Amino acid sequence: MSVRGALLQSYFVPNGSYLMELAEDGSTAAVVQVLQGIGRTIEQELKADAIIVASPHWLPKSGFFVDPGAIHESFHDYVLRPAPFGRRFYTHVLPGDPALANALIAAGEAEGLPVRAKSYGMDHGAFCPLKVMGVRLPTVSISISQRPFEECVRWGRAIRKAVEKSGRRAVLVAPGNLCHRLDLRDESAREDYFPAGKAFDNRVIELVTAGRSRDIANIDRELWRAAAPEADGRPLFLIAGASGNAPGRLLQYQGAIYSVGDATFAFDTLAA
Amino acid sequence: MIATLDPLHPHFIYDAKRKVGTARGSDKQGKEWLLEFRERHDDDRMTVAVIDPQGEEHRVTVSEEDFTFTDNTVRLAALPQMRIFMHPVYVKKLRGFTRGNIPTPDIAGPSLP
Repeated sequence: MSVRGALLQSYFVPNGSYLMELAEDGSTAAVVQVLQGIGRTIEQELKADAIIVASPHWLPKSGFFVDPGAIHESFHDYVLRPAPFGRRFYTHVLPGDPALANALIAAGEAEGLPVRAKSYGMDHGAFCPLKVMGVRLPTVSISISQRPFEECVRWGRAIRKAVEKSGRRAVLVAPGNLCHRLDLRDESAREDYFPAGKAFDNRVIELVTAGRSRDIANIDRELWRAAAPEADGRPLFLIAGASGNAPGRLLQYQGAIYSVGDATFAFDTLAA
Repeated sequence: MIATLDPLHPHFIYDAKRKVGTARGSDKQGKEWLLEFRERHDDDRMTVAVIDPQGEEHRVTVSEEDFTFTDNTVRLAALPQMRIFMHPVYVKKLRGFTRGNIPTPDIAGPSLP
């Protein structure tokens, strides 16, 4: 008899490379502590046996991609010190889950979506949050891609179906930032935050916590352009599809370095 | 030819203002080549301007399969005369870029990508 799998939880988390430095330095900042707490929850409470991670820096245009590799090695894709805003060099290696990866591809194809296999590894958008969480579970690395929002929602649904059919107890991690104006960043700005960024973040938080993540598509376009959310907000559409439009629980939020909205949400999976 | 990891002179950078990735490497003679990734098309093919050590620009439209990477070298099928050495850290960064990665920008712009 086959065991029915479950998408246990989905998470929207920050992915800035600075998080690895904070964690390495033993920071007590909420943004780090919450990520580390999520790692403990995934392994010890949820007892997940796989993680699907959708990097907001893996942004092809022609389709959604899934890395079916048995091992995922990180590659460095952020600026290194001593450049302004440069960070220390980090690496990370995680086991893959080729069977689950292939199941995701099959489910996406069955949904009529352009989903294909590609050897990629993990960029910092994937490995940074997982490294800070401290999780060592088999992982499937997938792209966010520059596809229409509604395709992202359908891809999320297909992922959930594949997980349920696979027998895996899996977690979806779709990192991203709300406001993401790196051109305005100012490391000395501890309290100040770009006003349009704050307005945008507040609106997104209001919608996501109300179970209306897909309505962020209706946010005023001028405000959207001013905030320039990471990956154009697609991680939240992916999660909406996977979680059945579940409301997000806001675990932490900060407007950082004047320019970036660091929010962490957890989502249950609603009955289909 | 051994390329060194010099963070002050990265072998691959992303300019989010121009939406252009630029790789640089040296051939066996130590001469520098530049690859400017100027556009990613809807089918994920990329328009690349390759500037050889003489300053001549070769404009090609290629896919990720047209690149061959080793630990420290990069080749491009459309330009067999090009074989450049880069530090392994940047070879991997470039390989990721050809496969759809948009890195944290070295030159920030108002949106990413």
